[in-house]
Amino acid sequence: MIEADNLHKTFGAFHAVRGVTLTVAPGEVVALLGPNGAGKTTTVRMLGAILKPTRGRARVAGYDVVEQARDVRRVVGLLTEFPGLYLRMRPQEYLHFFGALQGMDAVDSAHRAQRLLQQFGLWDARDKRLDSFSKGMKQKIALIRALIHDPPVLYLDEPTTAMDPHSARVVRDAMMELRAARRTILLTTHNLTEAEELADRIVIIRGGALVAEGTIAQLTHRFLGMPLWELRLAQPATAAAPALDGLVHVEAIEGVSLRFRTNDARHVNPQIISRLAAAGIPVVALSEMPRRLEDVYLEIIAGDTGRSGDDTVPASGPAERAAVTGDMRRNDDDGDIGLAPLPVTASHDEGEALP
Amino acid sequence: MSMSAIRLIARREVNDTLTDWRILVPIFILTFVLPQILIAASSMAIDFVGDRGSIIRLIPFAMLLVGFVPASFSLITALESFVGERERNSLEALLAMPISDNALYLGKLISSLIPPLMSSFLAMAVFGISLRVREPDLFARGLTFEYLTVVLLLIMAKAVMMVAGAVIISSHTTSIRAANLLASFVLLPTAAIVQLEALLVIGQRRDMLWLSVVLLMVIAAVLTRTGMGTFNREEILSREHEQLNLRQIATTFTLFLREYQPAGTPPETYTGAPFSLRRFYLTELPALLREYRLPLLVALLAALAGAAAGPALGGFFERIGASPGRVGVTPEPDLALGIITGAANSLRLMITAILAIFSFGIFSLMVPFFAFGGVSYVTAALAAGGGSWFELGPASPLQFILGYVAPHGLMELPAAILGAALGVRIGAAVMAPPRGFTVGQNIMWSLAQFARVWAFVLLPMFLLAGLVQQLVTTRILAALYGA
Repeated sequence: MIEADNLHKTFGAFHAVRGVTLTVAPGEVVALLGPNGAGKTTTVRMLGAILKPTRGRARVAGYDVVEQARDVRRVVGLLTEFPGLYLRMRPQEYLHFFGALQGMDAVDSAHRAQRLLQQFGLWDARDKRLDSFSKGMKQKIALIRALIHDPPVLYLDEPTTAMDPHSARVVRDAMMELRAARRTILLTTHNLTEAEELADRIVIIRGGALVAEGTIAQLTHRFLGMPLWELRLAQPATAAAPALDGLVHVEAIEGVSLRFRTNDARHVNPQIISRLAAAGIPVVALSEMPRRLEDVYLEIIAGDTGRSGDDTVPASGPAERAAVTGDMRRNDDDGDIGLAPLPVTASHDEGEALP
Repeated sequence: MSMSAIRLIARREVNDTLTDWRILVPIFILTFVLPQILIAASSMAIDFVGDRGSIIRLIPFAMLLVGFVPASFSLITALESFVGERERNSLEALLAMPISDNALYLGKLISSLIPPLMSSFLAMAVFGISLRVREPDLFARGLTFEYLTVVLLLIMAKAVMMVAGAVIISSHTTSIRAANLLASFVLLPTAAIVQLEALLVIGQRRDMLWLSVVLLMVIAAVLTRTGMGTFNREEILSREHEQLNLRQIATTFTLFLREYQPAGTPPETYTGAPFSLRRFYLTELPALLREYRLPLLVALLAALAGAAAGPALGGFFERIGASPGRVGVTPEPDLALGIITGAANSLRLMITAILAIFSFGIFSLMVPFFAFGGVSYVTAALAAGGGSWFELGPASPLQFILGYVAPHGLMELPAAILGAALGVRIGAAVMAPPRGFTVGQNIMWSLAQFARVWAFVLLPMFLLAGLVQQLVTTRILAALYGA
């Protein structure tokens, strides 16, 4: 639905976007992340046919963003970073204005405005002027503005900024509905929890260039390494380490806890339990350490990583740095050995699982 | 361009203006109170002067004032049309709509015009009706249908001119504050025009008032075209990143100076070759002249217009009017004077080129206009005095051309036309930058072309013409007219 190929944008001597290439499939939700000034908004503006790329090409819903700019603007709904409403207008006339600019007739736009105002809980405020609205209400109106012409592609720039938790939830639910309705959404946000919750894929931009792209699982694996598991025992963990020799890569031992990495939890974890049971070491818990998108993001933004598409995991081993904290002892042994599965398993895809 | 989009934008903006009491209150005062004040002032003036006849002349001026002051409010709404929306963060949503740049621009322009013009016409109606009721004699004698038409057109043209200028400023600035500061570029010329109109109204020069109407309409049309040509959403949003980078400006200008590429060629695609005089004369100058066909045609037309208008010029310009009296005078050859003449002519062209930036090239066109106009005036005066076009003699226009004009004019007049063409291109640079260039790049490019041609073509031609004038023309004149 969205195809950008080597997009560049310069403003005089300032290079805002450098060779961004990305694809968003129909019905996919992609979160565009990056620090302030990274080039996210400029990228979105180019994909929305508001700015022309200095170099490169992009197509949205089959339309070229330069040659068929108006068609692109017709199929895109844009939620801008700031609501920027015409404050002396009332919600319905405001939405009718933008509906009309999108070529909708008055009846269609009135029906759609009513439905959206009701969905977002603003119907009761329809007779009030927009200048009397709270920040969250204004943001909702801006979102409705982007949705008024029922576009197949949505660019949402910070959709829940300035909203109270309840309003943010309403907007996120609406985005979930849009996602379920197979809308293509490019979401620009600093709210990484929101990105985790909504996005199928993450694209990270820094300094105008795309530095990472993939699903959260892919990025986590690429930048934080293999899933990290923690084993908690009923006795000091040092005694358990020898029992795991040759099975897993023990990363750290601290008190009654022991951490190791494995990509093959389904096979490895049951064996660990078996070995420890055989050695008479009681297991209290075995769980995967949570790894948040925030850790991945900070790793990418703070680190000196290469471009997206480069599958090389940074040699410095950011995964280890992110995962191993405190005074835990590092263990560089490679212990990712696949063995036959046992009944007690836990996959990192399934989140936490205890024996 | 979608008319419905223009209508939608204009309607929304007008509604916005008409619901803003900060704009409504002053407009109300100017519409309903100002006419009454002026009528009261007229009555007081009659009582004070005691001569209704002399006050009659003030009535049309008062009408002009009553109409102009509310119309001037258009400047405020126009100035904040784009930059105001940008500051309120509402512009991007509008720019994301599937409407053309022209529709957006015209919607804003029209919406800035409608409320002040309505107010202006209403104020004039209030003034007229009140005057009719309170001073029927003044109304009947002071206001004619022709005068009302002229005033109406003058106010409309001025309003369009101000709004077009203000919208250009608004779309090229990043804050309302900056727009307000730049508004003086609109306000000062408008104030000067109003003063001139006041003189013409009081002096009852209706012919000149009609001429003013035509001129203002041309300027308004040019400014509107300029606004449409230079307005694009790309530049509005790009300005967020813009910084005044003198080094970059100097680098780009130097690039344009060193190497000729057609207008619109992005600077990054220039070869970066150093300047070569050989390349300039052999390939770049012919290519430039081909690219400048249209400006050259415009300059040539200005010269022809000068030649056509020449016979009337002497009545307006004393110096031209005195020229026929100097025919037959043969100056002594003076080498230094020749160089000074050449240098002065070159400098004159340079000054008009600089002024061309602010006058859409009109100043540059004055050079060929007056050069050919002057010659035309003298020849016409000689012919009117009985001189023959087909025989030589002291009163012959043919002899005048052969003696006073042709020897150095063969270089000087083409140089004047070429210089004017370069100036026209500079003036047009603001109006319609070619694809690939910003307005700034277009101005720099046209200035660079002027500088190159001025230094290596015009200056040598004028210096040579100056020398020919002193060393050759004087001798020919001595032979034709006697020492």
